[in-house]
Amino acid sequence: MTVVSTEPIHNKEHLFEKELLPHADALYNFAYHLTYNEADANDLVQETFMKAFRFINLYESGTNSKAWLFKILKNAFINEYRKKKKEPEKVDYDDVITFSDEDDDNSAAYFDLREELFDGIMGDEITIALNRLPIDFKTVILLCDVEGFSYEEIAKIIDIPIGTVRSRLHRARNVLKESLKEYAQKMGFNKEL
Amino acid sequence: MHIQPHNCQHLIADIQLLLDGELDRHKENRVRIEMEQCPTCLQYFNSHQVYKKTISQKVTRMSCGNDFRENLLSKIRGL
Repeated sequence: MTVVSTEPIHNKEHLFEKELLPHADALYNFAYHLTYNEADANDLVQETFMKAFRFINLYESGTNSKAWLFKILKNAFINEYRKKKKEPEKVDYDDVITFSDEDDDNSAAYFDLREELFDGIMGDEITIALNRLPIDFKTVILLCDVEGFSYEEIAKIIDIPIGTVRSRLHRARNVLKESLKEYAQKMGFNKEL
Repeated sequence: MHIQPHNCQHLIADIQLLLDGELDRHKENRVRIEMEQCPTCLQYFNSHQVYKKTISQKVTRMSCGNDFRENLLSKIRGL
């Protein structure tokens, strides 16, 4: 029989180990794709968990711990890593490119990405294409297509309206599909297209 | 009831929502029925389904490992 201590500090540790730590691999994977560097990903995940433990009193047991941790990690990445590395100023693609369902360029959306085409493309090439995307595009694809978060969860994690999640995801996927199509054409995987 | 004429761009946006699990059953059924009547949209559905499956399965998955977890727990316990 498991005995749970009534001591607050032990409760915090128990909660941390049972509800937060199981997401370590998913967080590390997200951090790796954001930084594309194993050491930076390690630091980022460690910082995320330390912050989560420090503020664990704000976390309600049984709620969406994964989304909570991803939000902490995303904020840590933006606040510290991007500033430290003095990356170019963030470009908000939602401001630059006016989007509406009516006038959006869907040319990439019509690409015929057949299963045979993807069979020829290795995971490494897909990962490289993903990592070449602008950070805002890469983030929504990782959260939706890799981690399976809902639009509502993504909106909360990255602090944007659900409509923006939808439009950003749409454009990000078009750019990624175009990149994969170009790669497949270069490698001769889809000569018949 | 007023029925909107078919518009591929609109339906393609809805197909993405469908495959992302963002539509209720009623709206999903409507999209599926409309999609079956348009070869372009049906092709997009199949193509986007392949895209979703491939990205989720083929993107490199990194793992932090057990040592990392143990280290983290030690640090937490040391606070």
